This record gives sequence, C-alpha cells and structure tokens, in this order.
Amino acid sequence: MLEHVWLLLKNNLKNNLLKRYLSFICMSISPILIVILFCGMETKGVTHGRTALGFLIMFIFFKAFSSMERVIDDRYYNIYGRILTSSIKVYEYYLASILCATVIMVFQILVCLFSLKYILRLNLGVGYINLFIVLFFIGMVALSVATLGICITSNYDKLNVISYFISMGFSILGGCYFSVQDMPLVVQKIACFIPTTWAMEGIDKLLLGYRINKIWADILMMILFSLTFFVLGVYIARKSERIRVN
Amino acid sequence: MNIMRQVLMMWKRIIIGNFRKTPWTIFLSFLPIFLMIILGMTTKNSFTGISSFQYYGVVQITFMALYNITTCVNYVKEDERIGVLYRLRMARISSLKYYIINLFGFLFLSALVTLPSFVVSIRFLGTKWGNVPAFSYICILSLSAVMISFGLLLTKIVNNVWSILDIINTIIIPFMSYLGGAFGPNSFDSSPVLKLLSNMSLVKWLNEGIFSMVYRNDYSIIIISLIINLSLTFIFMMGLVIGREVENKLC
Repeated sequence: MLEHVWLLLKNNLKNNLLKRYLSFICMSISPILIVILFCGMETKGVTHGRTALGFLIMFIFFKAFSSMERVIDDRYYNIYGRILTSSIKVYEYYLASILCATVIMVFQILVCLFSLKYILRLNLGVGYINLFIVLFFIGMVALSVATLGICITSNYDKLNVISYFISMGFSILGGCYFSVQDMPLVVQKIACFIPTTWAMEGIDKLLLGYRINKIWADILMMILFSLTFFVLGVYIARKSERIRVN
Repeated sequence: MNIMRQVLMMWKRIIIGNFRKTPWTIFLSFLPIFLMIILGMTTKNSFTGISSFQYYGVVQITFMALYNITTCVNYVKEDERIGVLYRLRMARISSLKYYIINLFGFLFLSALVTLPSFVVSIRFLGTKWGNVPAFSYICILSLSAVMISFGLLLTKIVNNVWSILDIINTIIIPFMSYLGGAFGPNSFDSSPVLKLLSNMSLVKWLNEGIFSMVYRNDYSIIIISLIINLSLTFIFMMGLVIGREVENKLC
C-alpha cells in the first residue's frame, strides 16, 4: 500500500510543482501582495494584519481546490481508469491526492510566512509558529471541502464555480474581511457554522496575546469541520464508485 | 447578406455554446448577486451615508466584468483545439473578421450575463445607477470590452495562454479589483505607490465614475473612464491587426 501511495504522491507532486509551477507561484504570491497592500494602507498606526491573514485563508481555499483539480484531469484523460486497472486501490489513489495537496498547502503557507517574516520583515502581531498551526488546520478544512467538491462533480468548470462560491462565501461569512462581531445578529449566528469563523477567532485570540493552548476549542472545531467534510466526501465517492462499477 | 448570415451564425454559436457550458455562465451571472447580498448583509452596520447594498451592488458587478477574459480565452482556445479556425479560413472568413465578430459576440453575451445581477441590484437591493441606468450599464460593458479584447490579443500573441490566465485570474484581477474597492472602500493616501497603482485600476475609475454620477450628478469621471476603456479596446484590437499582418508576412 505504502509503495503505491508513495509512487502516486511522487507523480502528483512532480506534476503540480514542476508542470503547474506558475499556478503555485501565483497562489503563493497573491496573499503576499495583499499583505503589502494592507501595510501600504496603514493609517493612524492601525495594522491591517487581521484582514491580511483573512485574505491568506481565502487563497488557501483557492489553492486547495486548484491542487485537487488533478483528480478531475485524471478522470477527463482516463488516467484514473488506467490507474485503477492496475493493483492500485481507489482509497490509495485518493490518499495520495490528498497527501499531495497537503504537501503543497504546507509549502504554500511556509512560502507566505517566510516571505512575510524574512523578506518583507513584517510584524503581523502574531507568533509565526502559532500562526502556522492555525493556518494548517484551516488548510485541512479547505482540503476536505475540496475533496468533497471533487466527489460531487467530475467537471472542471463546475469545480471552478464551486471553488469561487465556497472560497468567497466562507471568507466573507467567516469574518476574513470584516470582523464577525460587526455583522448583524442573524449573520453572526450563520457564521458559527462556517469553519473560517473559528480560524479567524483563533487568530483574533492570538492577536490579543493568548497562547496557543488557549485556542484549542477553535482548533477542535476546525478538526471537526474537516472530518465532517472528509466523511461526507468519502460517502459520496463510495456511492458514485459503486454506481460506476455496477 | 452572406456576411450577415455568417456573423449571425457565429454569434449564435458563441451565445448558445456558452450557455450550454452552464457553470461559467452561472458563475458570471449569479456570483455577483451572491456577493452583493452577503457582503451587503455582513457590512450593513459599517456603512454611513451610503447603504452597503448600494456600494456592493455597484462594485461587485464591475468586478465580475473582469472575468469576461476567462470566458473569451476558453472559447477561442477550444476553437483552436477543435480546428474551427482552419475551417473558417477554408470558408474564406479571415482570422481578423473572426476576432471582431467574437468581440461583439462576447460583448452581447456579457450584456446578457450581467443583466440578472443588474436587475436584482435595482429591483431588490435598491442600488441607484444614476438618472439613466442604461448609461451605467453601457459603461460596465465597456470594461467587459477591454477584457474581451485583451483576452483575444493574448490568445493570438501568447503560446501558453493558460499560464498567463493563471496570473491574471489569481494576481492581477484580485489585486486590481481590490485597489478598485471591490472588497470595501479603500484609501491609499498614505502610500504614493499604491495610490499610483490604484489610479491604474480600470475598476477604480469605473466605480468612482458611477458613484460621482449617482451622488453628485458629475459625469466627468465616468466619461473619462468610458474613453479610457474604449481606447484600450481599440488598442488591443489594433494589436490583433498588427499581429495578423506580421503573421501574413511570415507566411
């Protein structure tokens, strides 16, 4: 099993990082540009670090969907069918795809944080390791949502549309652009069911000087959200695979 | 008569072909409505003097006009892939004619796709578009024309257009629309570089033009924006003509 997963992972990584390197660079550069934009807008000593991190979360969602597009490509060019005629199992294929997307996501977060800390020398008001932990967990949620997306549709265009609706919807309702506390009460209640709300709440606490162990409830909520989306994705994938086999 | 028939056939193909590809059409028609509603709702308490629905009603429609470039590039590349361009050449339709017909075809498509969000903004969200809403609509279409002509030029001069489109979709459009105020009103007074960049954003001029037309009855900015957009469209189309001549010489 491990051999198969490693083989697929290597192939996926090669394809994503070498052939689609421009997309990777774009997705990593965009949040940095937005951060520069916010810092340029800095007025009366107020840093816009929070909103900059909100934008970074939005781009993590976009990148998660873009990394999982590989599965759609495989289905379109019938590579998926050819892989499954070998001894590779369906779960091994999906595991490799998810692992590949995870590696890319971690790499993207690291590139962003590294550029912010060492190239731009910015102080966002949060410890970078703590920030990485929160971003990693919201990244896992993004990946689980993207996995659900590829299980729902096998059309590249549809996935793109879903990715825009989800990434922007989650970012806005989750308070990535504006604080949830400033929103009307009804929207605040809806925001509780949006994973990005918990990530932003965690970041808000970190900005207020809380330690990482004080935000375990927010991290737990993100883990629960990602598990829910993964389970839902697996359920839908199993159902569609059964239909395909029959 | 024959030319008219050819033009109508090609327009029919663009419009029906793109409406069959429902996901992207849904995206361009309904994402602005979705964003207008949720951004308007979430920032209801943050705006003073102007309603949040008024602000986002305008800026989200202009923001979405930028994505016409993707529709256009996708379509032309698909045509190249299935060999439509060669077949058109055999039917004695020059590539220049093909591009001009495409420009107007996509403009018509853009008008159809923008219409639902425009109507929703007026009827349900109470967005004001000035004394003559049709004029604002034409100005939005002028921005679409810039993006469509730029997309057509890209398909002609760049080999790996997908990489460029990646950069446009993930960096240039979000960055320019942000500078133009698509995610909230901005002020770049503290940074001269950003102020200069925001002045280069076509969306910013269009948004500002519409707001000053609605609230101050001042048409000067919107007319400047319209002239800039039309000039850029003309320049990009000229680029296509020059590209065609160079191609002919090489042949």
